[in-house]
Amino acid sequence: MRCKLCDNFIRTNLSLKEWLYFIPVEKLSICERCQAKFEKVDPDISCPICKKSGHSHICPECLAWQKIYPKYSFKHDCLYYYNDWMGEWLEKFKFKGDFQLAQCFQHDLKVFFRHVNYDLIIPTPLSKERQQIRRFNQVEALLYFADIKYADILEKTIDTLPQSNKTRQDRLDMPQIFSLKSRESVFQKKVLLVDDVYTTGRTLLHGVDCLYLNGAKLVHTFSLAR
Amino acid sequence: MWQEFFYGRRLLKSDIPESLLAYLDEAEVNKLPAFKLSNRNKHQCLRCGNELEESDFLVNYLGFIEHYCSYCLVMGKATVGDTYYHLPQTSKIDEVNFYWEGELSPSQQRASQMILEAVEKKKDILVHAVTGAGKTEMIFETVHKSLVNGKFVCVASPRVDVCLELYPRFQAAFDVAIALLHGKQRGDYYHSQLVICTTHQLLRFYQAFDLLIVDEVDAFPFRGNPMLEYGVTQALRPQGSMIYLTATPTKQLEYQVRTGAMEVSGISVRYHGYPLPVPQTIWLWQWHQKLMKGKLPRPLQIILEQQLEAGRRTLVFLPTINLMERTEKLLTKVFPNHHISSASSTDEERLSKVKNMREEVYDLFLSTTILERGVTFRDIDVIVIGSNHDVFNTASLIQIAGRVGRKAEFPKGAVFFIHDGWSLAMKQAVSQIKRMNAEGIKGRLLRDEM
Repeated sequence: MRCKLCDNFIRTNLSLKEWLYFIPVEKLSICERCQAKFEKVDPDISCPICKKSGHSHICPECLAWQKIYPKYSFKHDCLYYYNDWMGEWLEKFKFKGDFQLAQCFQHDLKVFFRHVNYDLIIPTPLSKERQQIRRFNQVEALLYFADIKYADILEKTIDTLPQSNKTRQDRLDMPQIFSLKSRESVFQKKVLLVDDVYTTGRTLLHGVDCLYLNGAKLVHTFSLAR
Repeated sequence: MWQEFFYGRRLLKSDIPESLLAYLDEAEVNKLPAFKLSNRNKHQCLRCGNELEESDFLVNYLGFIEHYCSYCLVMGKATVGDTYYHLPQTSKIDEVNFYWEGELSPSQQRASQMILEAVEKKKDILVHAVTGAGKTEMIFETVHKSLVNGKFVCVASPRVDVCLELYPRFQAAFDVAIALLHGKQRGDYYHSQLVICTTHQLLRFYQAFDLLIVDEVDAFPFRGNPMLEYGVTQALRPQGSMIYLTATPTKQLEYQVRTGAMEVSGISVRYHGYPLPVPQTIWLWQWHQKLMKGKLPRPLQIILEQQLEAGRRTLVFLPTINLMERTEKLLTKVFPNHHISSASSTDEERLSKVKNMREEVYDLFLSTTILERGVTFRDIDVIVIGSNHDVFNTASLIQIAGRVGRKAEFPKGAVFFIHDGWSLAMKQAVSQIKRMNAEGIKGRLLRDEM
């Protein structure tokens, strides 16, 4: 096997447990060195709500969001901090469009989703125009390889420029961009909204807002990187 | 002229700027399929020659499976069903002035003549010349003749650094528009008779060049990369010829020479006529463990002290970045009064540090294999620590030894291989260097004072 990111051969040493108990060997898609460059979230030094690093209490950003949406309960989970390496990975995966790279996180996602319990898992949608260019929705790709069932019921009604091309203030000022395909589907349900990156939280909170307005009982959010 | 963007190129829709999209429906634009079914009933990418595996797919937004080539993805995504837009290469004759006034040594002259004859016979040729033989100058005459005859010429190299070094040299020699293409540069493409590009960029060309020169064929990432080799054959016109330049030919090229598919022109002496420095090997038990423990082994310290006392600037090669960083820390502690620095592929200040080294700021300069080729420092010695490590193959050891004595004013220097057990690569490297020197003596090409 070759590493999907650096193209070097992956060498794995079987553990004694794997030898003795015939546990199926996890097929690695990236090598240890590349894996180590992704920074795992450490809950002790992160904001308890949005997992922003360097905050032991609720961070100012989350306080600001709570002012805007006072009625909603917030909880965001993520696996990795956004660093240069993650940026590079996203560039290859999203913008160059290498669908297969979604495999890099299949194991971590499987582990995470094994321990949570939601009625519905909803990926954040792309606009039609963007979908036609990119050919796939990156969030769905991540869920697809992790074998997670999801319901594609949100849609993005307005085509916006890619978020990454905007300044922070531009992003915060954006109007609601999501709508629900069918209203009844989320009524009184526990929902997890999934995105690839949480930067300002604007996109995810639009989604949360849209879902609560349509009668969801509880909405939590999840992203790969923060 | 909008056509100029398409001549000899094979482009995906995503490669084409918006201003030209309107022309795509014109009748003269050829539309080529991106994939064909291979003999094994698999989709074969026509850009890079890769046969798609079952696992190369994406699930698109409608829930259908699409196949795409993940090999040449860096050049833009080609999915099954996509089309390439292409116009055949035209004839275009620019006024070509040749300015180069340097002089070729007799052996260079002979090689230059052989290259010219091979190209006229429309044969491929391998130029096997030692490091520092002056390969670029030898192809000038052939390039000039071809350009004057209205042919399209491309000089490609696997490494960006090499392309960046070649560009000004060609610009100084030829008064003709030269397109420089590589992945890091943003700028408009323009149609020109002479192109200098990385081997990756050749994937965007289709039957475009009458003469294709590949410099440093044995370098990463070209070596053993079927995608780039396929790209080269695709970029060449059916009647065109290839010139491969290298100091360390691969097995495959040697085989082609033996079977007569390719001519060969060898140069076993450097342009200044001094022999290649033969590496001295020093056995150092467990160099890896000792360095990792943070100890400078005694024999290594003696060599470095000798070098520093004699005032010789020394380039030290190490197999891995990790080891290089540790050794740098160690050396700055042991030799606090000397300037020591290092460069690796992950170092952002690499270019400025290499420039400083050229200006002779540092006494010791540590590096990984990235500096193995394409760089010239004046009057240096080289130490390879751990030359029996896997990353040093025959070609890179020969190239590393070739860093020494490249300038005519300082044609001599020392090369040390520090190892704990001969590797096959080391044996081959030393014997190849000796063989080249012996050939030079036989042909009475070397100067007497050995």
